[in-house]
Amino acid sequence: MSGQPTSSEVPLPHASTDPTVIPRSPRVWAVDLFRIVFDLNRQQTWLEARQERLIAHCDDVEQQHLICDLLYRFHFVRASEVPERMKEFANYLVDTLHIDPEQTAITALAKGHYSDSSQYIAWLTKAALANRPGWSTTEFLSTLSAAVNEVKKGKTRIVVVDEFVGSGKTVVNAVGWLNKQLAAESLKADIVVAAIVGMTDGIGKVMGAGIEIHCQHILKKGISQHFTGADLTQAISAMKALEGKLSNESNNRKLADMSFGFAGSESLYFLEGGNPPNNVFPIFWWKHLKGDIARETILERV
Amino acid sequence: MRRPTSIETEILRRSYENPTGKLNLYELHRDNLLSPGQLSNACRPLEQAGIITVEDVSDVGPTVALTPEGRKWVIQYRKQLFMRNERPWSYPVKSALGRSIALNEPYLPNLRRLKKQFFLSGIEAPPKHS
Repeated sequence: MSGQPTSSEVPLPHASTDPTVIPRSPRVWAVDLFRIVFDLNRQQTWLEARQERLIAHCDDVEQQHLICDLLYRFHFVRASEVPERMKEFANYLVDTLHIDPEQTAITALAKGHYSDSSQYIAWLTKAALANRPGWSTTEFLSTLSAAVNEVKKGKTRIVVVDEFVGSGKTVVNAVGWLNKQLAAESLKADIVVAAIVGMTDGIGKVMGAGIEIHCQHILKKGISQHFTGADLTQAISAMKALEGKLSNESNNRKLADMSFGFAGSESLYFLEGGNPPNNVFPIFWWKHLKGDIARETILERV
Repeated sequence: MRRPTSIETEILRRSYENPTGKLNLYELHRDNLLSPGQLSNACRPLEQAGIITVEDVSDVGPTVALTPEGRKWVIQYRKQLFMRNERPWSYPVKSALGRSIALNEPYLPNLRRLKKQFFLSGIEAPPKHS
């Protein structure tokens, strides 16, 4: 009929825009998977709104079970938990490491121009130490280069804070850079690294480089330090098959560099509202499938 | 406890109606296409309030059971839970309403707000002569 819009012209209401419509699952789940995912949701409530993304690219039961198992063990820090955790972190710095504001500067691990989660931690540490006597805003720094200036002014201890230590490479490089800058100015300071979460291997690497490090929470590798024997082989092959579905490049990154997380870190960690570390398995955050097809991910990463 | 959502009410209704006082959540998923996330989300407040317990029964899967206190609570509030006769969608939104007139006050439309075309809409145009 002339004048009538064609079917392609008729705007369809989007389910999510109408709060009175209860969204429905697009399919009936298999009994076993329903059971596993229901149990997973009870452990990780943040996944309740991401149901269809959980197993979107799994071909078989092994892959589905691996994804659910990894997510079950995921260390997800809720934004509401952050103030309490930062309080504990700050108390640890003051009461256990015995840092005092006269001699200490707390600095973010960042040394470039780009914003970094270490600056967020430095800022939160400032708030957590607000009720401790002696601490003022000048003791909290946003870059390592600022720490060099503080040592020039007489500080003898530098506490480098960060959100997450994955492979340990960034920490070793940053502290090496700081030491080099101090040596160039014939300065010396006691450097301590403190992070909210760290991977066992990364912490080992940092300690191996002779750097003192303290982590509030320590995580093991998600697959190779959890499974053994045939289970390990099966989990590795399932994850490789899943990664095989992802595009080789995304956001100027090569998947080969991020396989099983950057430097094979196999991390299972996310701070709500933040940018997940690239050490997390890319299946949880890689944005494209092969053929440059965009996909909805469980975690959103820049 | 706040007023239960539609999914929470359905869980309570089906648990209550079952002579065993139990509900297999997989059946609810299968019949209503509610995702495991929607169901776990709906069970949590009821469980926290002590109205239901959730357990994984072998060969059945996640199962909800009304607690004795929960059953009493459902009976006590059955009218509010299951006999809802409100129709919020049948009322106009407040922003669309003008000043309400008093009882026996005549309704006087504001004719100046109507376009002149409105009064001409029923009048046929005179036939054109060629």
